[in-house]
Amino acid sequence: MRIITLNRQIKKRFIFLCIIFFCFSFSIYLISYALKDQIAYFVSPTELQKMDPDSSRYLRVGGLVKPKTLKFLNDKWNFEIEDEDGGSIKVEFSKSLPSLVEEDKGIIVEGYMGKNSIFLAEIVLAKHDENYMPQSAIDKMKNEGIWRGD
Amino acid sequence: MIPLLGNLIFYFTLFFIIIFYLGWGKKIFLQDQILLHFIYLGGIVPFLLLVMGFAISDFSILNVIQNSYIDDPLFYKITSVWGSHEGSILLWIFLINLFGFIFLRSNNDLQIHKQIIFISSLFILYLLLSSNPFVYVEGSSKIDGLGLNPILQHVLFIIHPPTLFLGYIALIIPFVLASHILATKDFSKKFFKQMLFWSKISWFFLTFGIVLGSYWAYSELGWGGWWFWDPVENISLIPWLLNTALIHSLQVSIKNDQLKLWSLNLALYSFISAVFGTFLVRSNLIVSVHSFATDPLRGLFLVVIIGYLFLVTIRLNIKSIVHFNQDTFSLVSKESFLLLNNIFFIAAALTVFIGTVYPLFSELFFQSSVSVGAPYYNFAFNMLMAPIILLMAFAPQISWNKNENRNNKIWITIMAAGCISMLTFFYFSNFYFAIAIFIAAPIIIQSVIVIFKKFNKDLRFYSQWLAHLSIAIFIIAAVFTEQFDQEENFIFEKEGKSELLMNNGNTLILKNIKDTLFSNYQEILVEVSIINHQQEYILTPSKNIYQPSGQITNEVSTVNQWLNQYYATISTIESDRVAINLVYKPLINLLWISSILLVFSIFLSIIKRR
Repeated sequence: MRIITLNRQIKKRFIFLCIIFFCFSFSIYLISYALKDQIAYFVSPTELQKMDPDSSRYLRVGGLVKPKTLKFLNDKWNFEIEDEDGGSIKVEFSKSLPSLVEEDKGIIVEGYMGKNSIFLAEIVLAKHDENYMPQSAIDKMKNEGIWRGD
Repeated sequence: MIPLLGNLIFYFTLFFIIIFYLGWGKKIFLQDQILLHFIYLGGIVPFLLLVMGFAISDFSILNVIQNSYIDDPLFYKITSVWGSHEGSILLWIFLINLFGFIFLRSNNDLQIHKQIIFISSLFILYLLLSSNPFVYVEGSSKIDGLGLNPILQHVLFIIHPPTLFLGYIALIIPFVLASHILATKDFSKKFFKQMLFWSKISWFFLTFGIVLGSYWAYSELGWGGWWFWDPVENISLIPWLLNTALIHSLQVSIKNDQLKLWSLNLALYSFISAVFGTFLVRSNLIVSVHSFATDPLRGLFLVVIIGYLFLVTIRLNIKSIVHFNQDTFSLVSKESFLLLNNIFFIAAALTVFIGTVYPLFSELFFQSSVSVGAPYYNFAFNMLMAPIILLMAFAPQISWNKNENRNNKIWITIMAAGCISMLTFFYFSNFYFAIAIFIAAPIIIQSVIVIFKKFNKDLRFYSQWLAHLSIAIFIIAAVFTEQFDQEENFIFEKEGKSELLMNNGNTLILKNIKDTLFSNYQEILVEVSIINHQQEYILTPSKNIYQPSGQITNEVSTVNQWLNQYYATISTIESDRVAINLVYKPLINLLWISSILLVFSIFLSIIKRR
């Protein structure tokens, strides 16, 4: 109950704090409202197939690189990304692929949907992992009995 | 031997900490300060032990087996210490104790050190219970070690993580000082001066660490370039923004006793944001391009540590509301401008924070996984930064606590900036670059005027001047390089020409393909050169095949042309053809130069205190 007995100066300060808090939350509300569309920009190939092909939104697509589709044709990398729901999407990428991109491995790309339902990737992301471990090494450690991973 | 010693030292340290808390320090060690020395050394030595273990490839330590390879070069062996989660927590403990040890020289108040030690002991417990690097294994003489992740084998791996950690952990001193001030209500100036010194130290390392990380991401393929709004980048930006605000408000607190509580609370939240960020990425709660520990138990422990820090902070926040003193300054004064700068910096930090944790939040409460990316930040963050940058041009020239007449020069400067920006728009016909020029130009104009007016000022003036100017240059360079980069692909066929014409009229020549064997990798290197007006620029992108994993990395090669850079990678290399991807990045070097100037500016302001 001490708060009630505080002097007016402190009450004023408290009101001031509330105003700052209100301003902050309001600006954040505005920002998130304006960017509602862009927040949900990570889509799966299945979702991408269902989407309006004319939308020129910048999107992020994640999935697995479909086996036997990773090819270098006409100065571009071509591959397909598939997901568990059976959807797949053709992707073109005109830069060099990062090291860890392999068939049947996970991949994340960013870019725009182009014509002929080909996704034009601008960025391909590679995940780097401190827990990376070659399979041969894991086997070796298992034999030695010092493997503590899964 | 080393595993046993490392564990023993930690247990002894915990024992000493208990003695310290029981208040027996005086009885047993004659002086509490002596005990403090022991405790701090106990936190410092284990890290050095592990470094030694890595250096001599002591394969009785599991962590050494997992993270280093017997044929790795010595400096990679040593730096592999922070290649693993366990090692980086050990580095974290090492730095807390190192800073505590150094801080003991300038302030030996037991209450303050009690808190540093408590936080350190939480981390030591965390290390011993969930991520102990000193795990002993037997009979592993046949093993050569698994090797450091090839992607991490880069010169920057040696300095980037420790630098960033130095920046995060230096914030512990302002944190404990602030909580001490709030707890004892002793608002004396010397505490604020110490806080300013340490937050500057932190700012120096944090900025440097972020720049190094940015440069590393830029020079590595698939890491998204120099800035990508990846969660890991974001969580290093949040403490940076709060610390920047802190440095500015501390100036007011020291200069004329105002905004004190504001500074203190900022100090509390700066450190929390650093720990919280580490927790977020380490617990793998948020998916990032980086990936660290995946063990949820580890995350849980960090929650406990953060929970403690939060409780301390919130308690002090509530206390501090009661102590609000009367801050009085006029509307157009340095104080109010610095307050405004603070509000914008905090709002910017909040937007980054919300963008980073929103995916987690939405998954928890709406069961929908979303991801917040560059479009959000580019809008929200830049919207909030723009007013700060404009303020930066004029605020330093306004005098303390004086209601000056409105200065006409402000409008002249803004008009001039508008004109320059219009001209750039017509010349480059790029909207974003024109905006960047409009925002950055006032600082540059004011900087030029001021440097002639106040020529013989102290170092402090120069450091502030340089910091603001380098931010302006940074903005121009960053927007320019993003807006005007050019990319081209070149394919050299086996039977075809070895000279290809580039879009800008230069020639690209394939000179050589080399295959070299190094101690822990095989390198396939393609040498190409760009001929531009008799001038030759040689590029050597390569693909490296690492032992023992057989992992292939794609190495970038760059060559500078004044402030611009060519950035080459091998797209593919097959028996009958080589494809080279070449990106022209204009003004990218200006971006790095301005970043280094920014780091140097804070260095200037630190050394002037000595």
